[in-house]
Amino acid sequence: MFEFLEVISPGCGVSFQDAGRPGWKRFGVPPGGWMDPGAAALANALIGNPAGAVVIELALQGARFRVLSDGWLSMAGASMGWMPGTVRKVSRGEELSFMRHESGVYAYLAAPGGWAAPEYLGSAAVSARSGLGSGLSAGEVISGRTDPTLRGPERVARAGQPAVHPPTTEACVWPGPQWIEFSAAARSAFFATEWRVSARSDRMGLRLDGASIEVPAGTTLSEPVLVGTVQITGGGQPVVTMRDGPTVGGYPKMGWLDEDACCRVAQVPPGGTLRFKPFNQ
Amino acid sequence: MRDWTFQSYGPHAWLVRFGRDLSEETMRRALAVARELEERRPEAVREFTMGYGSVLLECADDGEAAARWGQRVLPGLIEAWSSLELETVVTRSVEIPVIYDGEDLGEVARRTGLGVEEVIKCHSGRDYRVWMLGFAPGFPYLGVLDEVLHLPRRASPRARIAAGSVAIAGAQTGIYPSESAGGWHILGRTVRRMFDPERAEPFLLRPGDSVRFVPVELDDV
Repeated sequence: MFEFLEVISPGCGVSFQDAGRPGWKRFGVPPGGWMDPGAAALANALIGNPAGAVVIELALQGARFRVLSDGWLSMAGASMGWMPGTVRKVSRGEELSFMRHESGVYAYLAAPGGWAAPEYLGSAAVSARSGLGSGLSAGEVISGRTDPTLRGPERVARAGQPAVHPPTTEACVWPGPQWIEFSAAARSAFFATEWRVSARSDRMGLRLDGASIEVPAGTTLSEPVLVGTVQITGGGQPVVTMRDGPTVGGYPKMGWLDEDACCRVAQVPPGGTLRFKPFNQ
Repeated sequence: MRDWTFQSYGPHAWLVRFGRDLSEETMRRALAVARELEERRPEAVREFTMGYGSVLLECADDGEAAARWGQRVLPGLIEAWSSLELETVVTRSVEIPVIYDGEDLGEVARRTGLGVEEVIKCHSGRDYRVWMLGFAPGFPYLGVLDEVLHLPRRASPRARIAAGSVAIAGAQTGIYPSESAGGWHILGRTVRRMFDPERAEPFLLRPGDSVRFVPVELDDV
């Protein structure tokens, strides 16, 4: 264990993440794990880590760290004042500050060899709502598993690729289990609306504002839910179930986003907009 | 004719629903499928999740092969599994000691017109089935509760319910595995831990298990 960073402030949230813990949903445990697997993989690849190495996930902005020892760090995903898709040499005593939100929501900071983090049910992915670990707090010291000055060979062809976040994200939607129960008017309103991401969105769900979708009459018994499911709440607002979201739910399920679409919508910041279009099978 | 529904849920997952009611028969069939998935899960099925009378099966995201297997092979398996007898399906039965001193015990007694002792007798007097686990890791939804104890959820949910609380709502009873918010009526508490990530078997209960609550005095535990 090599002490590397001290958390000065977690800002909007900093937590250890990895690929998550599939295989426990029948016990009520969500899969969890990085909200943007592609960005996390890039952060690991840039610094020569195996694809599944533990990274830290920073949400939105405000995180600050003190560097406790010289070494390398890579970052990918959202842009918060450090060019995503780059590796940087940091020095003992330096302060890293991610105060400036430029684009995206989730950024990944990787250290050589991965971060040393406690595991729960076979994964270091923190899922605070489920009681599986908790986010990092001010004063916590975090360590790398190997000497931070020794980085592996970079495994990507070209670094310095900033994440591209278009002004309005478009996502394809597959029909969900209750798709056919929604009225034609409700379905067309769903696709016609430019949805705005609510500030109440988090690792459990992406909440959307912009219109009120008419929900089918009758109640849905609690049914299993896939990550990426678009549920319509009683008030007619869509919620996209994210990685820490509940494994069962009773709202009617309009549609489903595949993993790629799910990652892209996860990176739309509060106030940002997105549109859905039907998946062409 | 097939009297259950089989819906695709994206290209690699299928939702099987045996009914929209909470009848014994609907639950039995869903739990029979769960039991087979627990004991003899086909390699193609990566994950399954229980709902009320429904089961979600997720296959590995490996393109065409999984999609074809799900469409062609899975329905036959579901048909066979769901017709198994419940007796051959449920083998585990678990006793949960409960100290009946919950903060809503008095109110439940008043609203149901039963005495406190009768509420305890009624709640602990039958075997329950684990219908599913959800809400929080290890939270069991158990049924079916004696009709005299059916009450809607509390009008205002509590912000903090202690881990181990044994509670009722509607036709169900459950156990809060960890401290959380919640709107169920608390009858008592147990020292048995529903979920402990450090244990070899982290979860005390599985879908389909039979559960009985055993009243104990504080001095016994």
